[in-house]
Amino acid sequence: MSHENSLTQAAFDSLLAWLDPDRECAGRKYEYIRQRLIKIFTCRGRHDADELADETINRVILKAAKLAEEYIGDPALYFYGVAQKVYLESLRKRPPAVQQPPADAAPPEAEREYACLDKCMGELSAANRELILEYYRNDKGQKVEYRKKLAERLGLGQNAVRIRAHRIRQTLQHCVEECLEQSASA
Amino acid sequence: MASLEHEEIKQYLLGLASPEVQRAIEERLLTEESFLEELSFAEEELIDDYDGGALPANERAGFEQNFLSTDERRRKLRFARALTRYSSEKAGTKSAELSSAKRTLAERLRAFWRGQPAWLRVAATLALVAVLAAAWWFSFPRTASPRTVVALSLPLTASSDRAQGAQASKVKLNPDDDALKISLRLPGGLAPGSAYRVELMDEGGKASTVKISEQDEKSVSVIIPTSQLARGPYAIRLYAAPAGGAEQRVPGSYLFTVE
Repeated sequence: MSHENSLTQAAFDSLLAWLDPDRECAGRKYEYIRQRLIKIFTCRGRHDADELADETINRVILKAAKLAEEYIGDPALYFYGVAQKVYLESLRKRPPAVQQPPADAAPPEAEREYACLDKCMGELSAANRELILEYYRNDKGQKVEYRKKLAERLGLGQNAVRIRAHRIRQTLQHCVEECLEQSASA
Repeated sequence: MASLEHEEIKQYLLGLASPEVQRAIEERLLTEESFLEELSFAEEELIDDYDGGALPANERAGFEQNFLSTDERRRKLRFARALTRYSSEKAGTKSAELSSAKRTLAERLRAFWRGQPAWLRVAATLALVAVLAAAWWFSFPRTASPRTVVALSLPLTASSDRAQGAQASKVKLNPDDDALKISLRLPGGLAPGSAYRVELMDEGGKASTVKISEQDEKSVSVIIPTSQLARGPYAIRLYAAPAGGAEQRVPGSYLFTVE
């Protein structure tokens, strides 16, 4: 980092104080902003989103003491302004690399993936398992209509079904990734 | 903050949104905690659309060049593929089980039959025909033709002759003999073309009708299985029914004794 040498504990404390007078609350806000900056850089197609977010934060830390006195408004939006500059600079230094879509898992890996999915499905409640299986089944272009019928059958709105499926999917993905890591290290 | 439509979020994720939309979305992402989940929904739908081939060419290019830039999203795509494959397989299995359960026995047999090679179907058809023919053949009640038959020809013995001590014909049956064939000579005076009935009476007076095996103008023949003939005296009664007339017993009996 270009400003690494200038970053001090005092500067970081100034940043936290600017974010919130309560240090614990300030720490949560700091982490929240960092995660959102990473998301923004990711959405802009940057595979080095973590580094760019940290560079943004470092630049803000250097001005934190002054900002606390002069800046009016949501600190998150100030971070955003800095992030825009960091992004433009990064484009000049390292244009985003175009990557090929991931290939399907090779047979042994696909089998492990399937086994992990099976195991994680088994850990879901029967209702959640049925919902996720129905929601993601491949219906050859009739997905929208099928999901509408699924919502009707469950007596829920389509958005409620969508949110539920999304959350189950996240739980499943987390479970499967853990399972794959365990089976790889076993 | 501008209200964001679903399509605008999708364009943003593909790197195809206008600068204004991009700014609105990113500011919202920084200031509105719940917006991250909405963005996450949109990402998943985009992944599903890409994987399902539902994106037009320019969006597909945007997806590959912009969206798939991070390992996290590539993992999401891979997981989505695995989940869709798994769900479809499970749905297929369930559907097959349901449809199988609904099928009638006849439908299952038909499906099984169609699944067999032609030569096997021909062979199975021939075997079935043979089995049916055999079943038809054996289903008819029939008297097996006796292998060893003892023949006996009897005259009609009038009651008066018995009173005068007329002797009954004697027949000796061996264990190997299957049947006794008795030719009953017809007396004179019977109307030609009469129908006959023969009755066998044992020593105890028990009578049973015996089936006629042959008949001509001079005699009527019956075949009696040896299993029905214990040792002892027997009398055969003959009944005649002229054409259009009532059945009447022919006077007299045919007498024989099994030794």
